[in-house]
Amino acid sequence: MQKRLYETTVVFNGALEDSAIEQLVTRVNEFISQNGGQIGEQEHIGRRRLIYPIKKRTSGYYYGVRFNASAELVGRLEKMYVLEEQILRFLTLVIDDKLLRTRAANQKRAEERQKEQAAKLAAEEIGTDIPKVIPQPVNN
Amino acid sequence: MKLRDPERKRYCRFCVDKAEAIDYRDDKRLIRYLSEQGRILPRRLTGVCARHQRQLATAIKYGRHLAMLPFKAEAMR
Repeated sequence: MQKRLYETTVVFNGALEDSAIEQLVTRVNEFISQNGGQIGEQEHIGRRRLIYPIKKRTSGYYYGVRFNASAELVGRLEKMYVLEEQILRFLTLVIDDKLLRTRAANQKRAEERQKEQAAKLAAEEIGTDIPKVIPQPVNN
Repeated sequence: MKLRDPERKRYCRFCVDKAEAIDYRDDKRLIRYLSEQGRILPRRLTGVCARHQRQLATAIKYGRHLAMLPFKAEAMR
């Protein structure tokens, strides 16, 4: 079977302790690698508040991983997700370069904006040459 | 709100950025395209081009599934 590049995003129960979350992450990764998948980049987005409660829980731990695998593996992976109680949501998509390039571009843009902000603040602290005129209230 | 002024000269933000895809995990950006009630806004209000609106809608729906974006947004007030 041909292998494709996938990205799976999983939401774990956010109330779990770090050690438990690590175990879940390892389970996911090992399932992929031990069943013929090739793990690529991982993204620990971390804990976030859920916009709406899932199974009464209000926070989740978001984790994403990209990997190469057969479609059949993905099917089995998702079955495992369903059976695991502490996995609240999952989303597995076929990924192509377009999304990855877009994300890289977005990231770059965000970083450059941060640099500009930092530069602005630095300039204000040091002070510019032109003395600032403090606007006075106008009395009519 | 400025973003939703229908008379302003509108352009598709995604086209300006030459975006080939829309990131479904980028909730900070996507949330601007939802109404106060959490509904996906129409193109005439946001100025998005047809192609990106379709991609945007799918991305928003994925984001809703992952609880990063709302379905209904009484919580947003």
